[in-house]
Amino acid sequence: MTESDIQADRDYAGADDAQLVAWAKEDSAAFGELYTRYVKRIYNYVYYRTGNHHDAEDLTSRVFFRAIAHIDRYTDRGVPFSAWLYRIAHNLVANWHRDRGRQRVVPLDDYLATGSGPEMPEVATESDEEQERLLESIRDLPAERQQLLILKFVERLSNAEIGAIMNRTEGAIKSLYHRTLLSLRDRLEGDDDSLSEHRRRRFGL
Amino acid sequence: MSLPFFKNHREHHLQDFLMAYADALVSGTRDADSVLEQFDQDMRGQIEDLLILSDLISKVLTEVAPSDEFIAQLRSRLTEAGGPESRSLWMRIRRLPPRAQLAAGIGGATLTAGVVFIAARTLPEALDLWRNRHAAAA
Repeated sequence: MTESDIQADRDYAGADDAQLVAWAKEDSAAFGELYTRYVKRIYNYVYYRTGNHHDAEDLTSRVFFRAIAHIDRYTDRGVPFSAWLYRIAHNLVANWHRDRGRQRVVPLDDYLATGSGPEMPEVATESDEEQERLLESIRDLPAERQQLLILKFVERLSNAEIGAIMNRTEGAIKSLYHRTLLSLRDRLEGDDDSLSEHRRRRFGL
Repeated sequence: MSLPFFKNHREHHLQDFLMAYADALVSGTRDADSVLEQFDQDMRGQIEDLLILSDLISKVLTEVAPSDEFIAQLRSRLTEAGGPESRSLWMRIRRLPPRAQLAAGIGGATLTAGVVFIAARTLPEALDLWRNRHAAAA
């Protein structure tokens, strides 16, 4: 039976991650399916950690090349395969920050290109500035707090899924989220105007 | 009951509330309002800044899309680079059974020894030839 015959018999789209990983050690098409499942999630994570599409593409590529190079050594330890990918991404992003000696990139134009719906120009400018300020504050957070926010709000993962990726209990995730909000509030504290305005809008005060 | 007990309990309750609110924001604003309604005004008042922050974060951290071209190109590069036929010689040797790995190691060592042997025999002769030519030229 040739390799092509084997691949033709395999239902990549219908297989779970564990099966795909087992196949991927011999079969690049199986890894391709894993890649398809997780490329957008990894890209989002890296994008918000780096702040621009160029570096996000570069690092996302590196994540998956590293994954395919080490898939032989991957063993199922009861955590999702995605947790392994996020760990690779986390380490590569940490190296990226270390090598560049910076914590943030200011891609306002880049961000605006992916922003939400149409607004009047003057409102859009203030809103964009506020959002950029908040993004910068998020990028100033320690890596694990950034990771939590990205996994919750961008990836929309449950606490159990986040806990598996970050190797923490759900209770620890909730506690970390609370501390993250407190930390962000402290950073933004000087910007009373924006918080007051939002308080009025949200609570009708 | 001691104060720390109540403090811990209250803090856990607060954390549950904040996370429930975040989950509701992720799933849709209507759910967020219903979460708010479950908790008393006092609780909401204590953490209204944190709720506002959660609102803002949910608006700022939205999904971004890599280009279709990038996705397709990377997949193509990965599947070409990662196929068994293109894996490095070292990786392919590692995947052989132990006896085959030993045989490959012995074969490689023998080949290397042969190259060294030939080089050891021919190099002095080559050096003598070079010296003689230079001496003649001088």
